[in-house]
Amino acid sequence: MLSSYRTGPARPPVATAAAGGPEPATHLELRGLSKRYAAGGPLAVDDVSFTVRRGEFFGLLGPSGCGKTTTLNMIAGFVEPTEGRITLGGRDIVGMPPHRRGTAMVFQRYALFPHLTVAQNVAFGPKLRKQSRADVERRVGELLDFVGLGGMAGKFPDQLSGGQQQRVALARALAVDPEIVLLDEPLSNLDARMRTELRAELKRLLREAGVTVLIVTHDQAEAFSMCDRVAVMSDGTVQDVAAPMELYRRPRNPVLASFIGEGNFLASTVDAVAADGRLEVTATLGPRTHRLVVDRAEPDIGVGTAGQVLIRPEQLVVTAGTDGEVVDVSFLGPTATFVISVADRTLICSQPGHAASLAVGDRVSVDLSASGGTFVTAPGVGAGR
Amino acid sequence: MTISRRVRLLLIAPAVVALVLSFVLPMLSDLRLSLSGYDDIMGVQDTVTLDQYQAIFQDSTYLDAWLLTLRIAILSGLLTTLLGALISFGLWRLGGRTRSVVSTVVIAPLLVSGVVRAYGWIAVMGPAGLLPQLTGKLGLGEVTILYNEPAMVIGFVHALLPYAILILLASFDRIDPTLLRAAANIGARPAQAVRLVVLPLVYPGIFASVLLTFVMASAAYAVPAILGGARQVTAATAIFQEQNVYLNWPAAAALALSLAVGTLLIMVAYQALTRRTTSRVEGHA
Repeated sequence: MLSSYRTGPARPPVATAAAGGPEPATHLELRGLSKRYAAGGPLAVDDVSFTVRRGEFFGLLGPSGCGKTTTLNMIAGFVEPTEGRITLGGRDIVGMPPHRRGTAMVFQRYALFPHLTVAQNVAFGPKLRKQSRADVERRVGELLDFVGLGGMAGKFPDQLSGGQQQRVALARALAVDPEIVLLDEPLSNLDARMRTELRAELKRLLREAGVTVLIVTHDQAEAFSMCDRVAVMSDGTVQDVAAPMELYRRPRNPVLASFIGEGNFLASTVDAVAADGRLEVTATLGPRTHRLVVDRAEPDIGVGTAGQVLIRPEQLVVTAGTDGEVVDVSFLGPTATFVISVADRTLICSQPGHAASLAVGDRVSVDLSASGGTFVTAPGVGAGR
Repeated sequence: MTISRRVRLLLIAPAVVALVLSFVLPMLSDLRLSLSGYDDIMGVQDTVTLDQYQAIFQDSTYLDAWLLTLRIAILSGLLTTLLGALISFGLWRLGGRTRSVVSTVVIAPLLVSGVVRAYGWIAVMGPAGLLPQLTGKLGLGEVTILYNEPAMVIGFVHALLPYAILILLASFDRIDPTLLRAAANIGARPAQAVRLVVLPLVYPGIFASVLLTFVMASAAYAVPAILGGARQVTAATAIFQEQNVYLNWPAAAALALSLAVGTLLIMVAYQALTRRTTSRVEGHA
């Protein structure tokens, strides 16, 4: 759809494996990127490397203060890295001023120009490129229609709702044919109800525009629902880069496992490696020792490796029995979460809302062998990083 | 919490009373005085006449004083605002500790009496002062601008700069600095970002600063009296002369009232001219 109003030269189509060699074309590459704000101070970003493919939606996920915003600002050119390289579309952009980089950011609070109308905001970039007045006007009209704000051209930013302002910010960013669109906490400024709705809308618009997107967020749901791949950051370093499903199912270390979603961790040792690559492990819970067959998060784990088994709440199988007791129930609608006390441990278990059957005080047992899970080594042990 | 109308009226009452006692009543008495006659021997005559106003509009000395006042006030207002805008922009971009130190230095002159500051300039610009000595050594000849228009403008810019900066800095501070990043991000060079985003948003502050410094310069007495010398007569010094030298109080009253009304008319015209530009920004900043 977007190609219909592009005035510049046609952008190469999203690279396929055949066109770009064995790997899809790299669009943005960060290599060994570090930032130290004060001499002798701590590293805000510590040796970060990852690549974003052309046309990909890439997420930078992490708690506040993890260095994700600094990384974003280094890509946009607002902060210069202490060390490392950034290449965008084949050009080294470190040291280049922001206005020449070809990055376009949608800011957290949108940063629309308050003295300009919606149309003038969108026209700001194209006008600077000395395009003809007619070209600019046509382009702005098409972009406003594209984001569904055709009737709002003459309004001022403060006359729009939060969601509308965001779409203006998006149109303003797309108007300069950016190499990459950077989204800084795109939905954090909206209330919870609108967030889910606008997330889908934003994703659809960006997909249709066919651009490469980098999203910075602290919200796991936002990153998971919008991104093809996510880099999880903590303490200035990238913990892992993978598709959301991979990150959730096979977290590479306990930090990732506990940051992404909730779970139960049980100390265990690897007894055997099955033919299909899964691991047979022993885990102790209270008086009983359980044998489990679980997934692995890292490739080179041998017999005898000590670590932990991560069992997600929805994996935990609860049976009739007397080992433990339900101590808390939170009914959320789609799911219900139970806190179960077994021996000296507290476990979290969830069931679909329509099938939730437990009440506080119920006596239950936990069947770990039927539960499944993922084996995770402790940091610094085995292949953990 | 809503405050009832009665309480609101009560809250502004002290200000209204003060304004009536210190401004409205004196102006009315000034009006009465300006309509009185004056005789060189008998002094103030208890009559009603327009003689004083007639004299103002017929005597070229007064006309020259008006024009000089207007010229100097406009020039001072513009120069002060230009300088103030540059300094405020710098302070706005600096931020942090440097900003608080520099703003204190900038505002500090307000602690010293304007008369003292004006005399300070005599030491700089006077016959044996720093400026003529310096230009003399540089081979430019001894520049003597004291007791002339440039001296008055310099004095005014110095005296009024803190006010301009206070107004303009407040105006800059209302701008979200992210807007500069947003502009850079979509292709604006730093100078373009300032011209297209920052400047339009500080127009209200610039207009307010020009207006305030113009009004203060047009009515000020100390600077023209000290730095303008005896031959440079402005509206304010003319009023002083009528009042204290010639003892022609009705003429002084008529001059004062004309100055006030003239300044008011200029203010109204100016605000009408700038309203279109400022309302957009103020309503949507």
